[in-house]
Amino acid sequence: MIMPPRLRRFALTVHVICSIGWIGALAAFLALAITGLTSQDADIVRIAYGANAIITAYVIVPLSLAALLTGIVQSLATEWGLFRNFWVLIKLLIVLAATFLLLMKTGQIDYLATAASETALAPAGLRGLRVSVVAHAAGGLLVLLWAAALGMYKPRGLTRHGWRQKQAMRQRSIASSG
Amino acid sequence: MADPSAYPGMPRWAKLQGILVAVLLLLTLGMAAGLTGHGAAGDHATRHGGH
Repeated sequence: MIMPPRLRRFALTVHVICSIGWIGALAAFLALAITGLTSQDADIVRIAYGANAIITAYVIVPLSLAALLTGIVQSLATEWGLFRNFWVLIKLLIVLAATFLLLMKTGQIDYLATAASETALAPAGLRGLRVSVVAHAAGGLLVLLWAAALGMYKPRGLTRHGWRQKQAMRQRSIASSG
Repeated sequence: MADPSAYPGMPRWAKLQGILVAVLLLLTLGMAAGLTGHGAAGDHATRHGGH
């Protein structure tokens, strides 16, 4: 199924907004996570982790799911396809991994926010979890930038499935013109 | 001479990024297993013991 040009442009706009919004929200999350890890002020730590839990639940998770969904729609409804081009396939796997890991981490992010609000976290309190949140956010940001770069550059390269489809289309057009 | 109708194969950039994606997926699965395995108990101990 190929979308009409107007709908295609709209779908692409929504996909780009969701994807770039996800990157921006994750960058804000990382800044707050670093603040929560390094600050000596218990109030700032509490606010940082509380804000992170809110950003995760109401911005990052919805944007990640929307980016994944609109990306799948965008590729299925255009000539790019989901499994025809390596860049689309690699981007899909990257976004699936990032979304899956994000959903797995939300429990820990909530737990950290609750712990910081109930008790004044000492600088060493929950150190492992706080470092892990910073590391995952930084890693996630790099991975999303990688996916965004793939979407911008769209490097050439057909999968075997894409190649077969292209060959079949070429033979059909030769047969219909001859 | 190469057959022009034959599949040209996977480009070099895709091979490299395919390896990176495989590493990413393995890390993701490993982290997911770690999170579901002993995440909550470890966090609880860390919260009270600081270790």
